Amino acid sequence: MRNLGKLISGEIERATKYKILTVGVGVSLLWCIIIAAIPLNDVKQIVPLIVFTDSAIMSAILISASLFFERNEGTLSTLAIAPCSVLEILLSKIIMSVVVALLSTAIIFVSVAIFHGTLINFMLVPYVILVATLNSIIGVLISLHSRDFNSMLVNFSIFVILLDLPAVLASVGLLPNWIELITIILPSQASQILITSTLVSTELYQVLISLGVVVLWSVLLLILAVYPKFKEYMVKG
Amino acid sequence: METAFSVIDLEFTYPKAKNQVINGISFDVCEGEIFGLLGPSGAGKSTVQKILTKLLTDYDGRISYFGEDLKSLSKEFYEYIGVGFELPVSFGKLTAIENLKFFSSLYKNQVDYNELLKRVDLYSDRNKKVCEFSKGMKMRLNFVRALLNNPKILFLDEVTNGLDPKNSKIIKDMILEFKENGGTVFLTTHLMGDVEQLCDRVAFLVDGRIAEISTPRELKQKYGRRELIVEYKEDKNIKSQTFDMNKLGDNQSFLTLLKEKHIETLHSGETSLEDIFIIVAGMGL
Repeated sequence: MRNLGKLISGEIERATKYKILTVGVGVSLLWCIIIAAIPLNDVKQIVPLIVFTDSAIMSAILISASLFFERNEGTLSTLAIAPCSVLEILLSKIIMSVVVALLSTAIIFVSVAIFHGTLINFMLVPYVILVATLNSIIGVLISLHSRDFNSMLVNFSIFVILLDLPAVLASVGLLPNWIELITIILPSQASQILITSTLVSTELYQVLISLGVVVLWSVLLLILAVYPKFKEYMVKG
Repeated sequence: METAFSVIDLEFTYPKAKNQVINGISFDVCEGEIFGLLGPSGAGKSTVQKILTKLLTDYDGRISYFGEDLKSLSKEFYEYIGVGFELPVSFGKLTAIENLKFFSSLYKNQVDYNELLKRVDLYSDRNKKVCEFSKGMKMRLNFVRALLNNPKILFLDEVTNGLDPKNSKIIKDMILEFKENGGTVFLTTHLMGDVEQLCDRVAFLVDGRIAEISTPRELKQKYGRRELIVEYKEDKNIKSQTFDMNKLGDNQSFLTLLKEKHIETLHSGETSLEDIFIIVAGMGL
């Protein structure tokens, strides 16, 4: 892991130069406008949804976009012949994505405090780290299975419909209770519960199960689905 | 001279592909030599380079690097090799110097990349974004990228692709200097000029098989025609005759021609490597 710090610093420099950071912050500022317009009564229902969308879906999209650019430029191939392990390269990209998610969350956190005088629980920070990590891994997974930009968009749509829609429907109470209970095993629903628990009182067992689900999905996807295929993806780049 | 790479019965098939790309090839690359792998597009040249640089690992056969099994080597292996890719591989939104600074930071052994930029005539463009570079400039930057860690072995894939003659010569001179300083070069190309000017030994790769392997000189001796073409003036017209170079001094018609006609030019009709490749492989490049 000698080169991890240098890889992360390179990722941060490129996120700035490629405007990935700008896009992340720009989206957060748009959320601020929405937050300002939300009636006080709806803050606890809508803000977690915003934080979830930002830290989960945006993380997946931004990491996929950055991988798409890098593959097009062939820079993944040249990283593959540097003295860095595949895990170091993967982790640097995931950590960069988490940093962008934390920055966006901080902006949302401040805007909620300013416009509504509501403070989000500080547990939001570790939860956003976990949720952004899991969804960045999912973003990489989607990239691994996308031949080009169009197929990446199609795969994203499938991902959102299959995994995120149940979480969104559950959050607005549109799913029957029994389905909602099962959906906790979905990465999106578990992520949603963790984020919501920082604003709305949530049963401890739900938080603990969600924590386990998010960590388990992250580890399983990284070890079984992403890591073994990532070098091949880099070499094709 | 020690053997840098020893390749024995190398076979490779891409995942999901029906046919083998590399069909049981064997060769050695000696330390301090420039070894050229020559072949038409799709022959498997880049695949061999990717295997030797450990980018493709799922191969059959045995490859050793200075006596050690290539598969057993760790990422430290990359501290000692430099790879020049066929296509540009730099971050477009970063400047040349930002690219080099980042990649250089990943190695223990580092060289002064400003000096290298000066050598390839990119120093004045060092603060320009790479996306504003021409293809030739990007290829020169690729070459500098390959030398960043002062490698022992240099892998170059179509290194002069897209370069004008002046810059092509600069790069070739630097490759020869690298060799003079003890470096080993593995060059894959379809450009005969590069091979003739640079390579100590060359292997012809055709459909994943090595059709011939030798020095350019030996190949020319083996497959070349020894002939002399004489152009002379006759009745205000330029005419030519071709003579066998063997026992030229005893050839009466050649001697008569020299004596009686006004000779315009004398050319040795050496067979080019390209002609030899066509003879050996039964196809052009």
